[in-house]
Amino acid sequence: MTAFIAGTFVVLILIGMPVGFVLGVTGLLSMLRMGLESVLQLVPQRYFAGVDMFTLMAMPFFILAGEIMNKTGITTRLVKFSNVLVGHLQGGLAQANILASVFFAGITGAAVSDTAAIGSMLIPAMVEEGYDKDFSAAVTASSSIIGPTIPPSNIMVIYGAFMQVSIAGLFLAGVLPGLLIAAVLMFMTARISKKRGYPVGERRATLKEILVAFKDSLVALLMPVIILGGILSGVFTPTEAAAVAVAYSMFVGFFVFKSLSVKDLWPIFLKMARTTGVVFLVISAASILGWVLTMEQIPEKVAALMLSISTNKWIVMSMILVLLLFVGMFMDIAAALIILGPILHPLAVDIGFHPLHFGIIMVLALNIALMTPPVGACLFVACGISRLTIEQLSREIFPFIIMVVIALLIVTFVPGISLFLPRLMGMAP
Amino acid sequence: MESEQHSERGSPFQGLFRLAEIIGTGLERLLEVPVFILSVTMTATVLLGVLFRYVFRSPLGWTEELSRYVMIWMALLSVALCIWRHEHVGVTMFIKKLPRLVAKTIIFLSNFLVLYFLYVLALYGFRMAEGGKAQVSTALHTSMKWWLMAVPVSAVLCLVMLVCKMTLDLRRKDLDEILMSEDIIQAVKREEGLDFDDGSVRGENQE
Repeated sequence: MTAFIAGTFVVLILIGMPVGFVLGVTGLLSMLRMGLESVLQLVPQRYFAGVDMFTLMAMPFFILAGEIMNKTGITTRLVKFSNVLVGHLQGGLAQANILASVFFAGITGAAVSDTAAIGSMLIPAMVEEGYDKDFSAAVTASSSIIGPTIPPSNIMVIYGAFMQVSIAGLFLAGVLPGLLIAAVLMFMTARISKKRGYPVGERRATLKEILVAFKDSLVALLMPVIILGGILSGVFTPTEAAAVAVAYSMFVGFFVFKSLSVKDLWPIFLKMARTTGVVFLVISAASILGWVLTMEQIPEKVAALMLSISTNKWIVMSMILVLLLFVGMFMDIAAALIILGPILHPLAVDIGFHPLHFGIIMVLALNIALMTPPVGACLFVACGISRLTIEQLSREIFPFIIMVVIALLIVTFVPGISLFLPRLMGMAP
Repeated sequence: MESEQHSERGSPFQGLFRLAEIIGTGLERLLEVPVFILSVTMTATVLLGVLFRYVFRSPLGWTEELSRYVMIWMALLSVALCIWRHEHVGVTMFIKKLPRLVAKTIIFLSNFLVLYFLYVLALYGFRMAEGGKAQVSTALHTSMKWWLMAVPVSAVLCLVMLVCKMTLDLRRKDLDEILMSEDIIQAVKREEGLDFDDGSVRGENQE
């Protein structure tokens, strides 16, 4: 039976069927194969129950808030602010690209929107200043994964909702790892810039210029503060905080920048609905397959298999990391999270990992998949903007992938990086 | 699109393709309206709940449940929209290695599995909704039937959209057109309002 489930799943994935339907069809065929015609009524029930969660609603709201903020033209201000801070370094514009992703991460929960927004502004600008196009695109795509690591984060919402882990805790735990990724990427950028002699920015910005740029982007920088502050102080649930972020972004768009018009809302809301539809199909269908997996005790079998190889905490975790990185290369993040989460989360907690710590490890490892060929979503978007092929970009992004994997290893083996902030706020022992 | 229609002129399937296109596009336009209304309702409901709880200090109680069910309707209707727009993507790198005709056939046939899944979802979904008729939702005191109906209604719409897409797939030459939304990247840029087609990047490419 296990072979049947795995076989069906792999074959359907290989022939290019949309991931959501792969999950649903595999679940359905497995039920039939088990000879359980009578359980077919479970199919629509699980499908409905899979997304019947108030917590999940934070995801569409974060998408909405990010889209609206982006529409207000905040990205330009964030890029300017980053540029006055690090523009004077060698390869300054590339460094500003990375730093802008850190700031942008506070208003978006998804990596792809980061690539699209910052890339379409900075890739042409970098090329004009004399950077290689493939390098510019590589920096953009790799720094995008900071987006879902620093709160808000859509996949942390999904993770928290399904693994019963505090979303606020995950948000807090993601801050330092996100900054660590930024740091290792900036290090690699500095090295490459020096070797290739990329342009040095004109001069250091004056304090006054920095303050002006800071003031200009303050509304965006406040958003994560409102979200995190609201949740941590116990005022809002994550979903409510996300809805307040939507209201805040609309207020900024309509009244502060006055750059948003009511007409803009139609495409923005529809885009949010479609993005939600894609992810919710995956979640709904995954809960059908999830039922089958539970019936077949697959999670226990996988755990037993892994523990039979070694019971050493770090060896098991290394196997988990390899598995996550491999699966992430081919599978949609949400799908990987929902299928592998219930299998790996209990195992990791069992061998002594803190739930928040493992949550961050899993989110990070799957995020890396966004920038790896052959199917990394950020890679695709960066290619679209720069009109490069995946092959051209792959070569240039390779050193950055190495750096991010190193960051992942540091985060994995030094729990304190993830757990410091949650501990500070009394959310972890 | 237009040039393809020219080359297909005279084909006995011409009428069928037109029909699929009319139904698909029509349904898309039609669905966008409720999806938009639902998404605005969802946002407004949660904000209303926040307003009453924290500002007026008298929680409403029903906003959490209403927004949750509205979200489900919104998302499940959007699933059908995304089928038509090819926004549900899979792993395409392996299938693209096969000869085009073989790949096209495999994709076409595999869609029947999806159709079967949607059929089960619709059939048993209607039964589930009927069964939920007597159930009353906890906060809103409405029959659960209206909320559970989201599953079969969405499944039927998905069925229609998928049949339309499969019909049009028959005449699509490029595998990418079948597997991916018309152009994911272009769409991203259009929607962000960041199209810079004539910018420096393009210029360099042409040299």
